[in-house]
Amino acid sequence: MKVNITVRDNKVVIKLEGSLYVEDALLLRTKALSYFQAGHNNFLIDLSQVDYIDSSGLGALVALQKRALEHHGALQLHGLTGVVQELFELTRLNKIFEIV
Amino acid sequence: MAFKNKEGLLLIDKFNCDCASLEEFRLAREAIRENLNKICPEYSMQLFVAINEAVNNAFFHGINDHKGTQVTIDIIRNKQDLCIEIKHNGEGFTPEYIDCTATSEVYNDSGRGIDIIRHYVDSLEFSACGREVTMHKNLKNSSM
Repeated sequence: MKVNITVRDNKVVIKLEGSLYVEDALLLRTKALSYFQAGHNNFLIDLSQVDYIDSSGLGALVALQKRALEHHGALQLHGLTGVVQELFELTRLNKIFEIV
Repeated sequence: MAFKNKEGLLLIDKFNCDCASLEEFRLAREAIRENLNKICPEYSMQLFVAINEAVNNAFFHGINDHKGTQVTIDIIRNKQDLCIEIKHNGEGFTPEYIDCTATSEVYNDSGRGIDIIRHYVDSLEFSACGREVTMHKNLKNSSM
């Protein structure tokens, strides 16, 4: 999985590309946490180029959202399609994330 | 390639893969996806999702001592059914059926894997103290 991180208007934009497997979930958590430690609390995760996310990836996004809320920030998701969208719907995670 | 198994049942295709570590499974994933595309193109992604979740469960919950352990994936298709068996020789585990969509569980970081598998296959059984998982996909209405 490719990860591209930029900061725009004080928002951390994480663009992911490929399939998000268990080893990628760990990497995503680690990278995102370093931005929390640097004082950021608003995140946008772009999943438009992601063709699959496993349950550990879903768990990583839930953990990051909880962390953002604890820091009085927010985590938004963008670009859910295909199986990725289906997995969010069947686990009802589409109800707890702000999808833009 | 069609052939008969020892019971005389006509098989359309099968695939086998052994992984001694999560790293080996990482390297095998694309081959599994490609073979599922050949064996069962109509449900290949759904079945890949189920296999990936089951193998992750084996490595993270079933195998406590990674030394000498191995996860075996067998996929066998006939005209009406596709069977996936995932076995490992670790300690095993007691699968917990958690409704991850329940309000009390939806904010959990984990516990979605089995629910996701159940969504994509028609039957799911654990045996041998969680060391064996058998999944079936009904293909009676399949176009192949």
